[in-house]
Amino acid sequence: MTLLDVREISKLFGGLAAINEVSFVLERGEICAVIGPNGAGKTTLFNLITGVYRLDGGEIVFSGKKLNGLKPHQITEYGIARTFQKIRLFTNLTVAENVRIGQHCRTKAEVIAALLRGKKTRAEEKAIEEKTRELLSFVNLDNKRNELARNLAYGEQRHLEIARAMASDPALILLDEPSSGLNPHETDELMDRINLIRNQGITIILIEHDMNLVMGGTDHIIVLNFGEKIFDGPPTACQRDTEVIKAYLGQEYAVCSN
Amino acid sequence: MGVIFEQFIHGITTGSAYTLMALGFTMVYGILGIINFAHGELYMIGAYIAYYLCLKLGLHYLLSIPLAMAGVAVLGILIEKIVFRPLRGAPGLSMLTVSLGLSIALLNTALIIFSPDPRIFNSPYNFIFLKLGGINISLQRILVFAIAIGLIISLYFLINRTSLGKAIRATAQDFEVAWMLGINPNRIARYTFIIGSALAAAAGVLIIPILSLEPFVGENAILKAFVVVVVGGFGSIPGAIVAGYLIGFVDSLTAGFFSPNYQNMACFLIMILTLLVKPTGIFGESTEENI
Amino acid sequence: MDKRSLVKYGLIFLVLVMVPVVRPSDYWMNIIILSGVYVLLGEGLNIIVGVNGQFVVCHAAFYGIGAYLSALLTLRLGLPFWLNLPLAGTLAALVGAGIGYVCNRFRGHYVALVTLSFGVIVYEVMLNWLDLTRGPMGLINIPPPEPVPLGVYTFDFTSRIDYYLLIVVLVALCIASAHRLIRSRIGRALLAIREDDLAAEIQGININKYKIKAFVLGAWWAGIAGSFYAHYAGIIVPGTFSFLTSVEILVIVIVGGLGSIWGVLISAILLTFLPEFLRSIEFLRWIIYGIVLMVMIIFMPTGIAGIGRRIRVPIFWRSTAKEPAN
Repeated sequence: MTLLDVREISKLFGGLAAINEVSFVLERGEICAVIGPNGAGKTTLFNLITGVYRLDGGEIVFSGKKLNGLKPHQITEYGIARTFQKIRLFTNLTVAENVRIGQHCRTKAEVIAALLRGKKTRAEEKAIEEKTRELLSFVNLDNKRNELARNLAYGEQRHLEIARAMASDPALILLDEPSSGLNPHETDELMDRINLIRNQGITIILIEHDMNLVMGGTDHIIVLNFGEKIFDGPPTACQRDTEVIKAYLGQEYAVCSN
Repeated sequence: MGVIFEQFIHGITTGSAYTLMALGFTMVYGILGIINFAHGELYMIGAYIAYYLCLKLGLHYLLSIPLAMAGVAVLGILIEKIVFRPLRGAPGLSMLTVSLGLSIALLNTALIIFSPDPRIFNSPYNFIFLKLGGINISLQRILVFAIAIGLIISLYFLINRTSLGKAIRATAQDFEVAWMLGINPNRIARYTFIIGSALAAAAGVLIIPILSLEPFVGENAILKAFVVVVVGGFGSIPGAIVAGYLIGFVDSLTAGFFSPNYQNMACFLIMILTLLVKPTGIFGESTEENI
Repeated sequence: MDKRSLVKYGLIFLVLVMVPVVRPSDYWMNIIILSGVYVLLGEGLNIIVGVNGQFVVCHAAFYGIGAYLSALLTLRLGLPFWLNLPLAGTLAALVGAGIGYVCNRFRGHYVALVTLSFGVIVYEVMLNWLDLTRGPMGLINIPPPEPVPLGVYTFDFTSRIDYYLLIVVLVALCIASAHRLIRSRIGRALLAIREDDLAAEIQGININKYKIKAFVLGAWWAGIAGSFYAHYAGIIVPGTFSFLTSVEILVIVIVGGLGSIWGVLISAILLTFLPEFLRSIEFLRWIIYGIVLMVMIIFMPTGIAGIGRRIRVPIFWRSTAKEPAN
């Protein structure tokens, strides 16, 4: 079942096309990787999907709803969440606070409710607490819930960002270089966690450079080069695709076998 | 007709002072990323130094200009070293706040030392007039314009034709890369403050003889400098020049045709207008966030 | 309520009750009442600057708008103080919303500049709109609040004790609401925007809406403070609501620790009382202000609240205090 339908989208920066008429489709429940040399437009693609950048052409349809022109928080309400290439946690807040904030768009209490703190509000806060505990346990950070986010180790911070993204109950999560800075053991852990997330029914698309992760852990690969899609298919076909090899190495070398 | 021409001359005079103020301010911002609220106090202190040099030591007015500039430049060196250097790398708002504290401290020190009473700082050129276009223009006004232009041209040569200027431009473009290439950031910071402070002092010494001298003049000067820098573009030298004269004209025309009471309001309305229409100013570049 | 909070609130209650018992002189009662006004101003600004991270330097303008509205409604239209108080808060809040809307598209020092110019413009209007505000001469003979009979005792505001009790009530409401707000979903959203507004938006927070809300909440209390001050002092002049006052309030928030309710409370009281001990030269006080500000930013950016966290004073400090956003 199609979850995300990206149709001929483009993004221009001062005349230069960072993304040029890219189209692809994500099926519900798949794990998709977007790869490509640096500057290929991968993060730009994520920014377009999440509404951080405005589209200069084409449209994006998510679960049948058009995302064009929507602001990032509206897109999150629709069910898309993301993490960032350089970690953007709320550093001076605690681990638990970060995850509580993640649930903002699924909760309701506004100013009056906050001030009166009636029964409904208290029930909502309780639900937020429980969900926070669940998510923190999922990423093994429950014992650090009252630590300031900036005191966590790098790998833990990455996982906190994922927990925070999951807090908004997304149907689709975009992970921007989730394994960057992780050692091989942590990367395996990450891969397991990504699978667990998929098992919960969430579709995942990630930008990655770690080829082990990409080739071994995903169902669907999209390769971008200079803002254009040069490959769209399963991992096995990707390794043999001449366009991909040329893009990465510029010559007649095979992509490293794993 | 004469009235308009007179306002025009006034506009050029105040515009020259605003330009010098704004140049100093925008340089410190553009090169070091520092918003120095105390810039107005440097202007005020420059005027007081010149005043006392002329009054107590009997120095000729023209001599007091470079001496005041030098004195304030020394103060600028101290400020850079003691107040701003410890905060290098801190967010801009920390700089703004600390400079706010500095401004308050300097202003009130001046109030204690010099007393709040306004004084008249007379330059000999206040009393020599030129007849132009049917009206009398004091030579002081012409002097202000002439020296301002001279300083602007000198600044141009300094920035574009000397090795120091090249180092400054490199640091303005990318602080860290310049550092890695061997440019000493402390040296650049020091020289930037020397230039910026000297320009503020020059503005003060030049224009105060036309206004009156009291410790609060710095407050008004820095507010006008803000307006100029917003309209011209933060960190832009041509912007400071163009907007400086523009705001000078707005100031004079408002005072001339409406009332001096509305000068501040007019200038701030222009600033808000600029922020709404083109926030980066006439010559400013828009910043795209890197995500 | 746990034991620590019980002790904390017990101590505070004790101090508050001691004041009317001890019967300080009029001079000191005035200082106490003024410190209450500054608590209201500081806590209001704390929501905008400390919790939400928007560097606003026009808080005195909201304060002044509340004061002038309340005074004028009574002087020109004969409306009662008790109506004017919430009206003043409301008008200030609406103006705050307007400025907040304008500031939505700006970040960092541009917000400071916009609010700076707004503050100057409001001040100049107060100074020059002679028909409305009587300019530099200000409004005089502002009547005290109408008497409130409460059982045995009637609060007729002939003695300072009544004003004291009123300001205590207002401060208590302000602190309680700020406390509730910061711990709620709203507070979290405001904090998130301070920490990283792009990440906050990605997390589903409508940052424009909440940035305006911060202005509304902060300006409301400034308006309330203004109305109280007008009918307490009986005289208001534009000079009370100048940029310098905005700086005073900003210093209170910075010294208290951005985002810390208790830090700002202590700081407001401290910074109102301290100058009285330095009454000798008015200007010396400001020099010390300036130096304190510089020293705080360079050495102690977390303010009073930060001291508490580091030394771990058992009773008073629980860390909702945060360092300025980096």
